[in-house]
Amino acid sequence: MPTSFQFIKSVKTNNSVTSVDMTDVFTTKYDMYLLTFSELDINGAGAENIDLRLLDSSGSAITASEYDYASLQLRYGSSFTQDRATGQAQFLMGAGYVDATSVGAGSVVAYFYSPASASYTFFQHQQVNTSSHSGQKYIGVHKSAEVITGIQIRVDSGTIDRFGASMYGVL
Amino acid sequence: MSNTGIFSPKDINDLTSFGQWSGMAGQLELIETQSFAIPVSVVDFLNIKEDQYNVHFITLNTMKSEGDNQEVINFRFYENGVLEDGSNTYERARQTFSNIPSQNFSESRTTSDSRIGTCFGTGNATGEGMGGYAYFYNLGDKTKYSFCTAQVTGLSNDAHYMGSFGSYMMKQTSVVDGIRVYKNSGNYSNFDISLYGIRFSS
Repeated sequence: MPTSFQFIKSVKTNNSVTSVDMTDVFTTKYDMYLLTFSELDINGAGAENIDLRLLDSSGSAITASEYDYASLQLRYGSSFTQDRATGQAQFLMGAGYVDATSVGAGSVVAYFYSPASASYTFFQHQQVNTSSHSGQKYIGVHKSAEVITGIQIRVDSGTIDRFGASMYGVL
Repeated sequence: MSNTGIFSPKDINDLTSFGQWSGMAGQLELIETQSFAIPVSVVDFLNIKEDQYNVHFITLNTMKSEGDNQEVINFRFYENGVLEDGSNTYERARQTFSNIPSQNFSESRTTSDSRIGTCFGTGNATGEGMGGYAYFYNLGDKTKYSFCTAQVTGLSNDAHYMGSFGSYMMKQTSVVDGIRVYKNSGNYSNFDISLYGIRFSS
């Protein structure tokens, strides 16, 4: 059972960017990692995608079709839906429903399992958003046996105008 | 600043200068624990240190009800010491799962509610009750809505297993300076609730 979160790194930006990298956060020191991000402002047409990619041992974002995921999309005002895919080029965290807003587009607590070992990396998170498509429960796996050192958060269109995230090792 | 979990004296000095050194204590910092002493219907956390933490974590254990079939894990927020309980204050998107024959797997959603409600009523028989946890986001940021994700589990009033996970929002840009945990009716017969701040969370 986890007994402690050990802070590793925070990243913040107030610039208009399309991606933010969190580098050199995964090591063999921890088997399990906790990611929080509560500060997220999106500038775009609305209904944006938020993607997460993993960084390889050289710090480069992995764009190969190696990501599988399944999620239940929770909505405040309409029926819930399932979203699942295999062989994707990223984890699709906000499947076309993240508001363009400056009041907080969404927040996430996520867990990563054994990313720094040369094996598949597993991932789960629970998310809450401002839009009528309000959040999701999510599992994912990166199906390549390789060492992962960090993550990249990105948008397909528009920009990330404000973002803050923190990574912790779980003991 | 970042680290790999192995600290040199220089790392410690640097971390201290950044206000990020906490020894080996970790960054899940207990703000307050409240445990059952006498029957009450509400449990208020009014010193939540919202100016220090972007993400709060709450654990709820042995949540038991005096009366039968009553909800034991609901939340409301305080703004400037005033309880926010208006009928259009909160939004909810919750997946509930159980072996209650009439319920099984059900969606619970609304765009106007007076509370963050996490599950059905639990019973007051031996073994019945609930537990769970929740994360709260942006409570101290006056430019942001306040968010919550929660997961709970327990036994219904007829001892059926049940649980839920959900996303919740108070759609107001404000500073939240308190959290109320409460029952929809009647008093608690037991509870053990701890509120934590996640240090350096963004």
